[in-house]
Amino acid sequence: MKRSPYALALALAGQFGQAVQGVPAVATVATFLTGMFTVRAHAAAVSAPEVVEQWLLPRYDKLRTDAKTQLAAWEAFCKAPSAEGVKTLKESFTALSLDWSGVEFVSFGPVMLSLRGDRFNFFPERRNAVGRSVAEIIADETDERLQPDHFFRLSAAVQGLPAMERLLFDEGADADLVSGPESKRRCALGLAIAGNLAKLAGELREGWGDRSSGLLGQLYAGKSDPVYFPDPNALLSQMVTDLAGAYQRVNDLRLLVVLGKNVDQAKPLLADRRRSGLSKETIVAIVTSADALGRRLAEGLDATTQATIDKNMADADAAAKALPDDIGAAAETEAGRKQLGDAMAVFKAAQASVADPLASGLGVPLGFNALDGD
Amino acid sequence: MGILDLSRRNLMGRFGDLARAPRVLFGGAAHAHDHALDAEWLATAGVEGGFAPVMLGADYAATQVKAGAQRLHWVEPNPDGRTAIAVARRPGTMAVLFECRSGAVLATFEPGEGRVFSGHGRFIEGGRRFLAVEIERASGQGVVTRRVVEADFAIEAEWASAGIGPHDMLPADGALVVANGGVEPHTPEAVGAEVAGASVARLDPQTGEVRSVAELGEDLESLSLRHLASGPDGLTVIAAQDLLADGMARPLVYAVEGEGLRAFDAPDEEWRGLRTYVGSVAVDASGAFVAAASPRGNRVAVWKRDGRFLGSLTLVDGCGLAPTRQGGQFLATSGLGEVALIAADEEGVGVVARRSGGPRFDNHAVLAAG
Repeated sequence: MKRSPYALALALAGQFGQAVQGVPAVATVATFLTGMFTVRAHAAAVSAPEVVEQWLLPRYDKLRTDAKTQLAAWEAFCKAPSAEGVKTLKESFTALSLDWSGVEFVSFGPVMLSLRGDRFNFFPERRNAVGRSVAEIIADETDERLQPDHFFRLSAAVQGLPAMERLLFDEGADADLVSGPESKRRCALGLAIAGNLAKLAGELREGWGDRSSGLLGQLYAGKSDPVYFPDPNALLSQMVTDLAGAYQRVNDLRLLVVLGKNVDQAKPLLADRRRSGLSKETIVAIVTSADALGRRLAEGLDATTQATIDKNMADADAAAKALPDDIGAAAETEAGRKQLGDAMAVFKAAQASVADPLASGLGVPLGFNALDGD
Repeated sequence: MGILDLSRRNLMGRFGDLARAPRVLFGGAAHAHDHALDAEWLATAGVEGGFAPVMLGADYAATQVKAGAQRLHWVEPNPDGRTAIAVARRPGTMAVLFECRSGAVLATFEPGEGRVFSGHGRFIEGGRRFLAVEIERASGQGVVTRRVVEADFAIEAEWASAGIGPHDMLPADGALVVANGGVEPHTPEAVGAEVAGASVARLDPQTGEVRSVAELGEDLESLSLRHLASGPDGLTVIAAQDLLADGMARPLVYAVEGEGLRAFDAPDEEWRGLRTYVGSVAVDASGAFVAAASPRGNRVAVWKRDGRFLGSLTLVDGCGLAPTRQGGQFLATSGLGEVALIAADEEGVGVVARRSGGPRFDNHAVLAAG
């Protein structure tokens, strides 16, 4: 009897137990394998599950912890708004934002479904999508859309860190939060965003599980997953691809777009996290986290390769830390532009070293269609 | 700024060298073949030492053709079933005619002076002519060149593509349908751009006269229309890349109907899940199903021909899509070396076979001529 692929997928879905918020069932389950599955010659000198466990999960642990802290801060603030309370909210935002920057380039695992990455941090923002979404929802006095069972369905632009940054750092934000006609509504929105971020951070971490459960357990057991890891051996490829993408994201989305073609066409307003003053620190968080991943992946390779990777990663660390505090302002001066350009060259070298010798040394292909598709 | 721009610099060898010295493509130590191969599908890939056309057999195993330095994009099979042409991705300047069974390079040719290839081209007139899509380096204006295969691909005619940044083109419904992508994504011009300036032009296949130019409405003007596919009964579809990431769920797949475009349907979350980028599109052998791949979204989505959304599935870094010889099936390839056989019916979609361990498949795959 001929069975439809959808029916087969549904049959398998029960086994894998994929029920994901906000994603049509077929999107989460309609992948399955036949006996044709072939195992890649495993030349890797590093264990992908161990890298997940040692590099990624501690970062997700901190993300989850800081998201909970932020939520608690908002709950306390909304009960008794104060200027001191706003300061605490900003501190909790800063911590969570930098946590996220350290993992934003990770595209494998639970983050790949339900647009979790976009919902956590809608970036890059264009056409003032976040500003418009925030203004619109503040003006809407009904409570329904801020409820957790509704909020996650709204535009990603209003759900995550950029919306929170607006709420906390836009001009007049402090006063608007503490008192005034919109303070209650702004508080409710902050609470909704903080709750959403805490939930997302929880999903990101809990989906991975541990050595005996969740995705990590599956990886250690060498089991494929119909959605996340059709071929568990491909995980190292995904890691190096994401790692290369980290540097590219910094250059393309954080620096090049701000630089424009020349000093007259600089676009300082496009600097990421300019409102919160974190434009440099965000890049530092991305690059240092990426560099740590690069070094971890290089463990087990020959000494020459390790030394090459270590040097490229150290150079990238130093270049990030030497960036001017205000990326947007730097793009508007020739001296600043040179500084940004020099850093870009170092990041580009780090990206190149991910392709060779890291990926080549690990014996894994570097995916490329997603990054520079045509 | 892409990874390939970086790695490309480290790569040695040129197709020109390849064409002059070892005229047989199969010659690499790791992939030596001295026998004929029946290619079911053709593709391009990143391989050790550069970029190469690859051939996939019925078992989905990929056989690599020796590498060159220019990144390739589309492979166009000759209707005669013997040969195919791999075209360099922009801003490349090399197209390679090779023999599908032996792998021998039969010819290479370049774009017109001051131009680059867009990555696409099509055989017409039973393989006697080849239409190449070319872009003026200076202006971005598009040119379609008609070349005579037996005359070393000499240009016998060239026509304006009626737009800037042309990418793909195919003969359909008695016309040449050209996807003028407008502003090229990943170029300095695309930084901060919100209007792509894309269009779909229909040209007279004999004279190049412009019959019609279709553009998208104001709310869709950020879309770069890039890839085309057609089915056995003339269904023609086009896929887009969105220059904007503003949270709006814009349709990225359209049917080309007459002088206009009809958007395919999908839930907003599905469109957003494609993360602003469809890298390739295909129509199955029956003409009943359309698939689109988004390597950025790690997804392949499938529709009925009438635009009704059927479902999507995960394929990490998946981009290449081609029909099989059986209706309701697609072959998909990924940049991580995976090949997946996707099946679709009235109820949904699923992966029914998968093979790992291939080369880094590039954007496109194509069914070899039967």
